[in-house]
Amino acid sequence: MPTLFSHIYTFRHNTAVINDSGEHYSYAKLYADAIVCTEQLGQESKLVFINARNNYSTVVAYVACMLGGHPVLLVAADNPQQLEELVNSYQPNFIVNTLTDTPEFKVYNSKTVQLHNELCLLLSTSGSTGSPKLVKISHSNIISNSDAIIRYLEVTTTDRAITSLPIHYSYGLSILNIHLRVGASIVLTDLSVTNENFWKIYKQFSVTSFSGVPYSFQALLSVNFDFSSAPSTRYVTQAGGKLSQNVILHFANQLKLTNKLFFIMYGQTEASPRISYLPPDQVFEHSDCIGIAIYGGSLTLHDDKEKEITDSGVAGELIYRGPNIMMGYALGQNDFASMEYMEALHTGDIALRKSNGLFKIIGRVSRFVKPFGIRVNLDDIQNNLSNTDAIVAVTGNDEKILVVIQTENETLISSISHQISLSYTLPLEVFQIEMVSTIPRLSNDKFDYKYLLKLFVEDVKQKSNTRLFLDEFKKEVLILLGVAAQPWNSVADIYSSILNNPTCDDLSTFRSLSGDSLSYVAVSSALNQYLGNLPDNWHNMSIQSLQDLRYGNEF
Amino acid sequence: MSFNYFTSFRTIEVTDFLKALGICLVVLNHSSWHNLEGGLNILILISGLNFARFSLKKGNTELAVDIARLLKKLLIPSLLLMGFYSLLFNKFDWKEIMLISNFFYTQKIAAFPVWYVQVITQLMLVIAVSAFMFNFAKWTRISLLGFSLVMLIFSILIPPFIDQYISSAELFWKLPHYIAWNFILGWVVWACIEDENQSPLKLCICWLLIVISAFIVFQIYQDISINRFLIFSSFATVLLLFKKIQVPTIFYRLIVILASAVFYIFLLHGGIMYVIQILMRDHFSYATIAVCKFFISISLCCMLFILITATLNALKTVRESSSKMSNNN
Repeated sequence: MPTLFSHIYTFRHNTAVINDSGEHYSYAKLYADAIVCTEQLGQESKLVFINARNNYSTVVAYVACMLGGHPVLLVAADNPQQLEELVNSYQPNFIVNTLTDTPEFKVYNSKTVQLHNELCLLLSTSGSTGSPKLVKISHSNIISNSDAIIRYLEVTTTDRAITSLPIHYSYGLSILNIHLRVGASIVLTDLSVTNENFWKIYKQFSVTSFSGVPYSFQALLSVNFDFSSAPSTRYVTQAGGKLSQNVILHFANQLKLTNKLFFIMYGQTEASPRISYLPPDQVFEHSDCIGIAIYGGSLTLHDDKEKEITDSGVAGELIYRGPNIMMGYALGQNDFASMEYMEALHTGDIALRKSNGLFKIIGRVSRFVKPFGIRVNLDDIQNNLSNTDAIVAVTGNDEKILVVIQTENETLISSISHQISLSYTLPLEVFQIEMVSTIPRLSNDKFDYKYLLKLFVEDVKQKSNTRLFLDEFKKEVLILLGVAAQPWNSVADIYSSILNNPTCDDLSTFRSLSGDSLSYVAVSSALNQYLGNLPDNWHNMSIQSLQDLRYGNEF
Repeated sequence: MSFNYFTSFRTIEVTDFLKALGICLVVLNHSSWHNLEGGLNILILISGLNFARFSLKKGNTELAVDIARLLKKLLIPSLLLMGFYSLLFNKFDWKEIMLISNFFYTQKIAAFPVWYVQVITQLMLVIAVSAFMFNFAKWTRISLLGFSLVMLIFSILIPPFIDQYISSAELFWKLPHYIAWNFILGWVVWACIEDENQSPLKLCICWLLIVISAFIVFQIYQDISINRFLIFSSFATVLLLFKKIQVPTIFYRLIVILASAVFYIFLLHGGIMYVIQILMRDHFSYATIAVCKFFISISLCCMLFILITATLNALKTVRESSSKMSNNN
């Protein structure tokens, strides 16, 4: 079966990888080192987890797995907690340590793991269930997606990338994939884009492309970086969330002056990950768009009734079709043996098509909510809970998931609570469970979700001030003790609440809002909870930049 | 097969971790472990670091506004507490309330380290005035590190001159010119940490500055126990070398609470220890009392922090809710 890197030996004389101390590794060397690793893994397909770093050892281990047909998951080496959770859930055969120049393959589970022969890559995604959810990517998914990206970026053997993003992140991994696939080269470094040495290396090795997420560009903007100081650059790409238009235009203008291309891209893990890109010549007039579908894929819009919308300017759910749609999710080891054919990917985003054919995202589908930044499909929960003896309607918003049970049997509430606590990693207080004799329905017999939401969640029941104070006091104590989590709505919410400064706007920072050492701990703790992972320089980042970090599943 | 590798850890900023440790050291020291010194010096170092981090590079007016805000947060509870102790003991000292008693004597009425509030207030006022007189904004923008180094040298050299006029030793060096170096050293450490061109050499030089400054002040000027120098230097080294560390999840929340409650612990532990001493002195051994002082005062202060913070947040929600209701009506 052809794999992404089956042919890389044909590039044997080319440089594949350069590390930041200047050592060059040819494709011949990379291939040879990878083959040695495949011999350790054996003939039979194995499940491999790699402690990934931006180093040669990781690249060797990854290429070895791809060459040998061993499904692989890359995990951030500096996140042992995540690795532990994944290992406990999925029991891989091997765990690879990449601290040394040669990757160390350690046996973790010697039992055979049933693996579909198409399965090649696993990507982590935020999930609402008890175990961390993985997206299963097949060989054909990754090959088609890589080839499509290569096509529109026009990547050739003369190109050279740099690891401005971690390799374990699917956007960062896609950069590695496309460059190795065409026999181009990649410079490996862990340095931050705001570190002067990153750009010294960039210029030293004549890197031809820069790839960043919104935070990268915000950081570059904050240090007044100009791409004209990196003349070897041919193109710049941006994905990983929505970058504000003024920042896009700032860099687009800069890049235009030196004839460099700027690609705004969109995707999802479930699409391996690239779905669309904005042609560089459209960036000035349509910087708010995600562009057009990649080669081999197509984008359509569907209304509530799943009917395709053909008119421009009419909003609907963005649906993607293409050979790069995943082969399903894995929630446990048993799921690796199966393949789910998915004809279309419901992105969960609401978009419209402009008259020139470019797509623009304007919001999210109502059956998806994002409590704590975790994308939750309310239909999934409703289907799961409907396996009980009651009729269940599930609706909600980003703060609350409302579960309404049509029953007279009060014991069902505790059984459903128990089921929720077992199945979902979200805090139980996000769920509100109510019992009714009859769930209200619309004329088409569908549940009247709007009414239920208004009745139980949005209409604030008249509480006395004392009652409200006591409820809030109890909640605050639990939050401070770490037993409960504060349901922050946004970064601005955190700043205005803790810093007691309601005047914050998108460009405000912790410093500009007069945050100080007395409020620092509370704010950093709240941000850590809300965002998951706080960059070092967070106190200098604008509210908008921090908010952009939240949507980690959009590429 | 299991690995030691797989333990549950959370990442925490080193400053928070050291704040928690620092305040524990202060309380331990006051509980009777007098050889555990340096906790307050670590807290002052971190205060200086945070000052450099959040305020120092701003314009002079913004800096003064930040200082005013910080002093407001510091002084309101401190003065209220001083008032409380004055009423409790039926004694009044205008010099203590005016925040200048540290220049006259070491006795105090309030059962908390009043001198620290006084010294920090005095230091902040000097910094605010100096910022305008010497245009700090200009120099910090040119080079924060260079500016901080100059200020550090100045702050190290100034004490012997002032000692010609004030008997600092008799006042146990609880004076701004003996604390300034500690605070400004935090600026140096921050300037070194945030430097994108950081190198092992720069870190070494910064470390040497920490050790030399601490040695000069603690061992030459003050000639006090070597413990303070050793503990302070060790903690400061950790601050220099690490931005974040991993702690077992089981301790993470406790450390965050301690780091958040530093000011509460600082203000209240003295009074709590005083009560414990009175209640237990005739019934328990010295060691037992010391242990109880530490654990009870830390726990009570943290609980008070949680209760007061929860109360204020809940009241804010009630106010906002009432305001929303009246707008809707």
